[in-house]
Amino acid sequence: MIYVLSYVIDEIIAFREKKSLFSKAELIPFKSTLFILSILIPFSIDIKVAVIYTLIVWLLTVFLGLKRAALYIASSAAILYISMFLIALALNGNVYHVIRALLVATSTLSTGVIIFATTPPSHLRRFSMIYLLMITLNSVLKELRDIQIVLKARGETGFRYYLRIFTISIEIALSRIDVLIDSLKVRGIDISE
Amino acid sequence: MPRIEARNLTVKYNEKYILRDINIVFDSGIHIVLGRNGAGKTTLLRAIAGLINFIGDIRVDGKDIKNLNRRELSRLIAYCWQNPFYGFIEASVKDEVEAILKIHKISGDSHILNTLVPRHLMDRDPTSLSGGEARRVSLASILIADQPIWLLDEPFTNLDREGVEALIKIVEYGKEKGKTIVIALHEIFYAYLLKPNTYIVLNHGEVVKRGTWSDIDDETLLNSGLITMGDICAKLCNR
Repeated sequence: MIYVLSYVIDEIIAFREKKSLFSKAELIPFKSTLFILSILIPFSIDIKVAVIYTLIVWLLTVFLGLKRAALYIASSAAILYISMFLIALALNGNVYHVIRALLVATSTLSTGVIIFATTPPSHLRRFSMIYLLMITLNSVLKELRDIQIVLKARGETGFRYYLRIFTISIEIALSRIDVLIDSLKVRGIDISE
Repeated sequence: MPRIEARNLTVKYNEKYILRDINIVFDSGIHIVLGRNGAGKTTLLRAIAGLINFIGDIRVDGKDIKNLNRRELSRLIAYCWQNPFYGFIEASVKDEVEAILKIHKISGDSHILNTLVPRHLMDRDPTSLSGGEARRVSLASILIADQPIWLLDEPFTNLDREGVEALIKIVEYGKEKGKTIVIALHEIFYAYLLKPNTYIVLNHGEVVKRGTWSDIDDETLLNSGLITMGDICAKLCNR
């Protein structure tokens, strides 16, 4: 999974440089709706609808050509489902709750990947905080691509590797946010507005 | 004439003084801010650009910067930050340099772009550029808006000979157009190439020396932790 993650990041970053069907500014409301629907899955009355919806957004990642990301999402969902299902069985928990949580995670991750891979930051300039979040994420991901190589070279694996990636991501985001805010401000965008 | 005036400028972070009681005036021309690492050069430029909170007064073109909104400030002042990679906001060089033009709905000065950024870089992802290329793009992405005041923070870092020549051309072009250009440097060598009008030396957040460029002496530089021309010449003579 560690090695797959770096390939997924590479794919998403490379995809952002291409123009795709979903890269049009007019599709921002559609993509936002997909994301909101993903978050609302726990409130869906019929679980079959939620499963079909999740399947559709996942297939959308495949259709767009984000194959490594789709594979990563599917395999992560499978690992997560098996472990949560076993825990639910062991603790006499509700399996339907496990499925709903898993569907939220899968569809939110799928729509998040679609939005990030197909939305140029300039489309979000009107929403200053989301815009800042998007360019910070972009900046952090690109830096992480290099850091992963360093971590692999040091032989870090397993949980420790993910923990390091997590802490380093936060460190990078914090160290860059000041300059990114300056960079937006000197162009005339006040993110505090 | 675009003039920068700072009166009793003080900047504090967590009770620590970064700048203390700075009084400066920069008129049209090239002005160098010298100082060792951590002397307060970047903080001074960021304060003039209205990017941080400060105590005292900063007037730009006669206007108190505290009364200007972000758009007005960015049309008046160009601030170019130190690490080019940290400030990229777009997915291609073309979008990066056009961002400020779209925000202000202006056409900008294409001479600045053409001089600084080679054409073949336009479709590249800014974060995939080399250090020198990233520097050129970063400078062009702000200066293209043709503001009357330019604040450049260590602009020569990472540039090769061609890049240095391009930047010097742009600074001279800006000077010819009557801009007020303030450049923070710790490498004195580049200051000699620029032939500035005036300089100030910062040390521990205070102005320890100021004057016209022809007055600068090695002793001031040495006391402020900077490499002098004497050091460079001595090395060259002994190589």
